[in-house]
Amino acid sequence: MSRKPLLDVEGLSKRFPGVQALDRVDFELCAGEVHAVLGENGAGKSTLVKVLAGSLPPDGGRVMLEGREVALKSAQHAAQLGIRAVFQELSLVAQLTVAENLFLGREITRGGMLQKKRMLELAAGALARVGARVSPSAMVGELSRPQRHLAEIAKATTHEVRVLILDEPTVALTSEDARHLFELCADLKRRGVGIVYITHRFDELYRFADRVTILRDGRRVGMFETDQVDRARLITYMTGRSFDEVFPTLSAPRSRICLRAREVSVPGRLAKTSFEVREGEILGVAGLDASGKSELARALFGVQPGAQGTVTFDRAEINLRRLSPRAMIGRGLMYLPADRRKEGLALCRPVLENMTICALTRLSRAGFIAKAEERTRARALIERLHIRTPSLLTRTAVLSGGTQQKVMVSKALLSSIKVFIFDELTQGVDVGTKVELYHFVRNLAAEGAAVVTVLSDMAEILNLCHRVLILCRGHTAGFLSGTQISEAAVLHHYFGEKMPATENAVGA
Amino acid sequence: MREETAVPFEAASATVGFGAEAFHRVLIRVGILPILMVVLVVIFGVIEPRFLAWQNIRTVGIQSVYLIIVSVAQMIVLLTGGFDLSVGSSIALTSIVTGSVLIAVAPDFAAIAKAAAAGVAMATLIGAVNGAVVSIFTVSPFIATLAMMSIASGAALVVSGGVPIFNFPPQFSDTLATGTLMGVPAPWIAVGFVVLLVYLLLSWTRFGRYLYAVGGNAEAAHLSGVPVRRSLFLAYLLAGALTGVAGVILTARVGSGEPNLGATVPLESIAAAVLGGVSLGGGEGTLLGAVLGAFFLVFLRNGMDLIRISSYVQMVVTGVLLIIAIVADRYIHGR
Repeated sequence: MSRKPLLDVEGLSKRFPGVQALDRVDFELCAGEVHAVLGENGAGKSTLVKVLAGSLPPDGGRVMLEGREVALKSAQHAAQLGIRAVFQELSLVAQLTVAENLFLGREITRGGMLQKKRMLELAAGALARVGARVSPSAMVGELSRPQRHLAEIAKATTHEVRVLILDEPTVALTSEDARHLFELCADLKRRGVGIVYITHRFDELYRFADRVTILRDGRRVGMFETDQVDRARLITYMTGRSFDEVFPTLSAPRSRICLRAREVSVPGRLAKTSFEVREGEILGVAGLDASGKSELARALFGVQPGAQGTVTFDRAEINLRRLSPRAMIGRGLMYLPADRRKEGLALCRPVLENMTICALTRLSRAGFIAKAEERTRARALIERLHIRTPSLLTRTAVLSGGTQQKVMVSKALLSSIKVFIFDELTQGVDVGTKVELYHFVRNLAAEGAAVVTVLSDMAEILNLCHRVLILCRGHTAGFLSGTQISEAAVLHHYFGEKMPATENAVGA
Repeated sequence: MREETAVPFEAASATVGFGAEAFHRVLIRVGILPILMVVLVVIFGVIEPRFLAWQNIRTVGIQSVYLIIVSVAQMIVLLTGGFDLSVGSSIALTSIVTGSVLIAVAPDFAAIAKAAAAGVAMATLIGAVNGAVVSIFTVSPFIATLAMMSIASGAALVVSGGVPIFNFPPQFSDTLATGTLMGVPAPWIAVGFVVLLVYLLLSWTRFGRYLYAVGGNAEAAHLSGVPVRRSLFLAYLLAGALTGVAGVILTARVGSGEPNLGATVPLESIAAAVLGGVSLGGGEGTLLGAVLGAFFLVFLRNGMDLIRISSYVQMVVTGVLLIIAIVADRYIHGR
């Protein structure tokens, strides 16, 4: 790998009202290098990449591209210089085809006429390179989220690119797609493209990145060659804690069965699945994309259309077809969704209202809310979960992702919930908050609650559960418990003992 | 709940002109309404001294009652993320029903109560149908209330034969339009009751909290055990009932049952609520904002009347203000 600095950033600063988002940050990217940026939410990662992509002007510092200082005026300007970014918020136009999107604003024309056939061919090539099995003439609105993401990456790499910025690219991808993405990036590296890679996932970091820069509170706290630094040290740099503190020791489950699910199924997505959870037990539900794990969790709460089967819980046998969230919360079962922005929180409302919304029935007398009691309860939750909010009346939208996640989780705590169902509890959350959430889940179980938690992160599967139910293409691949839970065993079940290539066979 | 600022006038006016950033900060803090209110008071106060006379402000206070009530109704629906285009024709049908009952029964005090009750019941029924269509059949509020606008408007014309209902007993207007109780004008008593009721509902009850939750994020509300459909239904029902109250008051003011009453009300009530900081996206807005927004619109119209700006130009101004309010809403809420 050549060590010619392609992008050299010195003393970059950016201030938002009340926050120093970037404080004199240095960053260097060589041609053919993958340079990861690591940090908790709010550490300044997204501000840094937005500045580099030209969509935010910095307050201070300078950006040098191939030794020449550049003032990035806009994302278009950065793109002209060969700096392209793929953000988590996707930018494709749903009403246009993939090919039209790929060439949007830089259509190929001859004599003013669009060269549609040529663009389709080029788009097909670009899509094949990123491994997207998508027709270039398909409407973007009809693509699945992973497909859209791949199309987005195809768009960034269709045109001349020298610096490619990827913001948590694998969050939306299946592992098969992610593999394609890594191959593509390896190819780009060989061609001398520098890649800035934002991620939360350590395994990707080690597989993929040459160097890693760690940000904390807007400052660069470290920069390492990836092969010279271990996971524990990275976590220490990011959070200021040692790795041993990350996963808590679980307490033993009790013997009484809390919830029994019988033959839960969702047509086309989940075959009949049965399991039981004891009081004090943490049951992980793991599987690849389209394994049906999220559907299973949603079915138990009455929010998965078409779900069938029964749950025995709270001394009643309940038909899943006749469930509603309201009734289940009343019985003591609560589901917390994976996407807090879409399904978890009313972001425009104050923290207080989001925290107490589930419990208003018990917090009110004859329809009137007992406001003093409501505030007292909410304050207690803020203490218990260490929710960092300026006040109870702060708009939830202005809080960091990790804090928002805690606000969402706190909703369940004012009702007497005996079964907690978490769907990707730590998705898009910084390491510090993850650690707090792990301890929180552990304590819930220690106090006697049953926890069913849908997981994707291997470290969490291995360290956070008493037992793991592994689903493969909608079927129960197996249960692992205690010392049986190993990475090899989990992966073995993931693929149902077959080769990984068939993993996406379920028509989702 | 966001504390609605009781308008630091000086602060708002002092900061205007300190550049875009300062302006933006003021907008976010106090919204667009205080700024417009200051502009209104200064411009009309200078051109026409009568504008700020107590007598004129009292008149505006009485004239604005019907729009305040409808804007509050509109706000309730806006909070859930919908809106109600049928408020205007609902007022027309209320007027016709009230008028018909009024001339059909003996002209005594009980008749006034019966007629008013019939009118409010009619509008409540309209609200219930809106609510059912929106919540049970999940039709978009735009289409549902647009259809209802046509239905109610048509019904008002059918029942009345297209002509106004005259020959009201004079007690009707004497009581509900110009009557007073211990010196307080009857319309003020009505608006006082409405505002108190809605204040209690929105700020102190579970129902009010559910309205904000549904408008803030309907999916999250559902997953939190909020009865989303019931809340939506009740929101439209309540909006219908309040619109009926406004319809009766307006009928008393004009002194006849008018099949075309309230035609401009849908636009004006939405403009008033949005000017008062109620978000078109749902989930955000305050009672005080909607009330002040409605008062502002009527006050502005009064000012334009005083300096003889034609009603056609006034329509243009209302439309422009609505656009300004929506742009400000986007700007403030960053959408």
